[in-house]
Amino acid sequence: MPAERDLFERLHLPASPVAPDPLFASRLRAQVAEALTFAATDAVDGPRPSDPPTHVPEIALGRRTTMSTSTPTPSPADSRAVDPVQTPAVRFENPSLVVRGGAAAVAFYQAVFGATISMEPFIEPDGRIGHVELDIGGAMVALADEYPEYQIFGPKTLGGTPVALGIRVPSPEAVDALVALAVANGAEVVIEVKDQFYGERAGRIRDPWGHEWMVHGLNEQLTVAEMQDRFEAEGGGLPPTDTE
Amino acid sequence: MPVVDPAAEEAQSRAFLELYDTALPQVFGYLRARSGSEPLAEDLTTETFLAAVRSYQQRPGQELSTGWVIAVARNKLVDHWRKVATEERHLQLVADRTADQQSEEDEWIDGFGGTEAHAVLAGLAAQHRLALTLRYVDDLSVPEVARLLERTVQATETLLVRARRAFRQAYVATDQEGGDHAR
Repeated sequence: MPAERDLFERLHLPASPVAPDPLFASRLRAQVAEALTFAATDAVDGPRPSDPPTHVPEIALGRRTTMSTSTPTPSPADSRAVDPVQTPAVRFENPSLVVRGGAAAVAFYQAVFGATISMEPFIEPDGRIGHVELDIGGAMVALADEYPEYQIFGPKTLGGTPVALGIRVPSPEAVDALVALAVANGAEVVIEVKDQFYGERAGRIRDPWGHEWMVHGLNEQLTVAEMQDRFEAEGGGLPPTDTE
Repeated sequence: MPVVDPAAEEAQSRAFLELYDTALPQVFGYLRARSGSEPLAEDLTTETFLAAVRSYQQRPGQELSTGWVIAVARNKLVDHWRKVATEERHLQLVADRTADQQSEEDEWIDGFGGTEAHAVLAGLAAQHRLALTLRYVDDLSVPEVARLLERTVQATETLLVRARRAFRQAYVATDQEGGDHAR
């Protein structure tokens, strides 16, 4: 057995780079590149559990508190070894539309909104679209047929939708043009196109599958205070034709 | 809404990926030599870089260097062995189990640490392995070890005394087995 000091000094290891498996290296690189696309403000945890985050968004704190009440609090001795529950960074990805008759709906969105197919549809043996991704004006919108066996229904089956999807066009005139095109392709008008108190020309349509779209074009850039003034000048409420 | 400058964000991302390319073999080599396991080294390397991204996003001005990522990797190693140490306590394993009792997952693979002494180190209880790794393998000072373990310097010295004793006992036991680790 070597002398005491030698024994422990022999443990020292200098830096010794080792290239990991190339597949592992490229996958992790992609993961790192993806993580970097999340905005700095989305990050809530640092490299060290013991290093308190300098800034934790309110919502993350709220959720953490909720979760900690439902799980037993670790004793102080254990707490250092337990990973704290962290709300991961999130980014809104896309809406997923459910329709009865997927193929025809895709054709409608192509004809009216100029949608392009960004991911080819996955088609079930029975002809239903399981998943297709559209690019509508730069945003990804997923679409699928109804799946009653999974409790997945479109607005026609459900009798309406509480959600409106926003579409912006470059001018007030284009609002009228787009709504006319949608109507020509079978949509109905829910809110007539008009100049709204908030400085935009806008109208709401319901497409043949029951999804609703609010079409906006900018008239004039207003502050919130100016919007409030105009809202009150108009009588403090929307005219009856604007409510549904 | 925070003000976002896409050009600056892109430059930051590029800088970080450049660091990834240079630091990856260093980080992986560091973790592989100390963990003695390739899959574990891969897991800890992943955790290290993802934690480094989050830290960088919170403090974008911070200096990007391989040394900084190695420090993050060391933290991940400390966290891992602490978790193992807690599990060992829960399983009521003897704190100073020796190399001949080591479990399969801890099995030392030739060429990672290199020497018989490293093989003995790998067979120690996680707490002792951690303390000796930081103090001797990484050659950190006792106060630095104490900071990483979140203990007082005095408590760290006590831990190191016990760890060295466990190491010596395991070393003698391995020697008596016929020295099959020796080279």
